Amino acid sequence: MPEPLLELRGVSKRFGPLEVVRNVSLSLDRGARRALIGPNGAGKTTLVNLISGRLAPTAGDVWLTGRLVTRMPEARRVKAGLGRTFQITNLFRRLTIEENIALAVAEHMGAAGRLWPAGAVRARIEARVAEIMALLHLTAHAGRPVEVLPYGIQRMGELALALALEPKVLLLDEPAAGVPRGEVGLIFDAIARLPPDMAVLLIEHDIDVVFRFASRVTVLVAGQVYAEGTPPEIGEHAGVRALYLGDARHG
Amino acid sequence: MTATRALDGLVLAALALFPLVAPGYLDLGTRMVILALCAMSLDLLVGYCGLVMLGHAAFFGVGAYAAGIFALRGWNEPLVGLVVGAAAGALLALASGAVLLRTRRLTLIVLSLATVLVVQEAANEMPWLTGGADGLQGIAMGPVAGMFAFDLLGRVSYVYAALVLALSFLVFRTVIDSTYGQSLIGIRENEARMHAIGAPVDARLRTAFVISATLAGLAGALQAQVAEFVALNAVSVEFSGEILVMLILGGAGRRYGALVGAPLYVFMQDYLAREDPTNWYLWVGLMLLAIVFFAPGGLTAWIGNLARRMRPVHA
Repeated sequence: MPEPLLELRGVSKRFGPLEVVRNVSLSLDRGARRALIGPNGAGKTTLVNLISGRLAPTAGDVWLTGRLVTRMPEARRVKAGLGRTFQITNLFRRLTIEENIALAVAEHMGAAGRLWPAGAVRARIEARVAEIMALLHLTAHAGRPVEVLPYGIQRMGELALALALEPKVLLLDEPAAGVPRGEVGLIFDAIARLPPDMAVLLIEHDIDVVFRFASRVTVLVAGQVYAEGTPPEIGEHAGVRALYLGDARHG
Repeated sequence: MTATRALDGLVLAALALFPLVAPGYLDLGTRMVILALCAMSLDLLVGYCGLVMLGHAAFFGVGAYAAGIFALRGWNEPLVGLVVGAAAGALLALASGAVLLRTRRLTLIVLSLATVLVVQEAANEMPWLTGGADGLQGIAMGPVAGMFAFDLLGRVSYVYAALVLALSFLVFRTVIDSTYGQSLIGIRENEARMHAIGAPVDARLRTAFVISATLAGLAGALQAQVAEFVALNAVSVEFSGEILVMLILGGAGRRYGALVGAPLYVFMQDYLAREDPTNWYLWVGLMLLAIVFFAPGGLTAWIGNLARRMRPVHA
C-alpha cells in the first residue's frame, strides 16, 4: 500500500487551559480531495497551522511524504512539498501580483538565494510566472500592487503563490472567504482544475462547494474529529446535520 | 533596466567629475564619499530587509580601528588595510548577528544600540591598543598600492575613496538587482509569508547582515586611512543616528538614497555650521521634518515622483 502524502497521528494543541485541537488523526493520499468542515472555533485553522508548521503541536506527530516533520520549521516543510493559502489574505501587499508570484517561483526553483542568477534562470522564472498568471486569469492585473486590487483578485493571488510552489499537499484555508458572490465561481473553477495527483485539504463553509469538490469530508467539532465519510454519508449523518448543516440538506 | 543603467552611469560620472568641478573641496568630497558608502551599507538592512537599527557605527568603527591599528603596528599599505577593516566588520556581524537577528523591531533597535555601546566601551577601556578617549593617533599611511602617496590637497584620498565607493556600489547593485535582493524585499514586506513559500529567512538575513557590515567596515577603514586618525566617537550611538538620518534624507530602500542623502547631509553640516555654528543641528532637524512630511520616501523618492509626473502620458 502506498504511503499517505500527509498523515496526522493523535495531534493536539493546547493554548494554556484551552485545548483547541484534540487527538486528531487524519491522512491524505495522492490525489485526495478532502474537505474539513466544522462550526466557527472548531480548530480548523489551528489544524492547518499545525500541519504547515506555523504552530507546534502539544502532542502527536505530523508526517509528510513519509517523513516525520513534527519539529521541522515551516519553510522546510514547504521544500518537502507542502503548500498553503491563508484565510486572511497574506500577500506582499505593496508589491505587484507579478512580483508576488515571482518570489514564490524563485523560491521553488531554488534561485531566490542567488546573487548572480543567470539570464536563463531569470527567463525561466518569468515564463513560469506568466504561465501561472494566465492559468488564474491574473495577467491583466500583473503590474499593479496587490493592495489596490479587488479582493477576489487578491484571493486568486493567494492561490497563485501556493500553486507556484507545485506542492504535493495543498492546504486551502477558506480560499473564497470574503469574496463577493459573483467572483466565487472563478476561484472554485481554479480549484477544480488543480493537478489530479495533488492531495488537497479544503476548509470551506459553503456546503454545496464542499460536496461538489470533496471525495471525503472530515467534520471537526470542538477540536475533535466528530465524523468522517463521503459527502453522502456526511449529508445523512444525523448528528452533523443537527450541529452544522441545519436546513442545508439538498435532495 | 537600460534607463536604470544609464542613471547608474550618471551617478558614477558625477563621482568622477567632482574633483574637476570643485577642486577646492576635496576633503569635503572625500567625507561625502565615505559617509555615502556607510549609509549605503546601512540601507541594505534598513531599506531592503526592513531591519531598523541604531548601531551601524559599530561596524564602521571596528573597521576603522582594525585598519588603523593594522597600519600602525603591521603594514601601512592602504589596500591591505581595507581588507582588514572589511574583515573586522564582517567578523563583528557574524558574532553579533547570531544574537541580534533573533529579534525584530524595538528589541532589535535596543540590541543594536547596545552593540555600539559595548564596542565603544571596549575601545575606551583599551587605550594601549586604541588610544582610548584620545583616539588612535600616529597613523602614517604608505602610498596606495605602493605608488600613490596621499597628498596635502587630498587628491589621492578623494580618488581612492571614490573608487572604493564605485566598486562598492557595483556590489550593492548586484545584491539589490538579484533574485536574492528581491527575496530580501519579500522579507521586508511580509516575513511570515516568506516562511510560507519556503524561504530560509534567517540565513538570508544573516548574509545581508554580513554584506552590510563588510561595506561599513570598508567605509571605516577608508576613514581611518585618509584621516590617519580614529576618533572614539566613530563608534557612537550619535554617529549611528547620523548615518540613519543621511539615509532617510536620501530615501531608504532606494537605489540612490544613500548616494544622495549622505552628500546632502555633509553639505548642510558644512554650510550650516559656518552660517549658524551654534544652532546648525536645529536646521538639520527642520530639514528632516520637512522630508518626513513632504517627501516621505526621502529626496530620491520625491525626485522620482516629480520625474514621473513630468513625463508625457502615453495613450
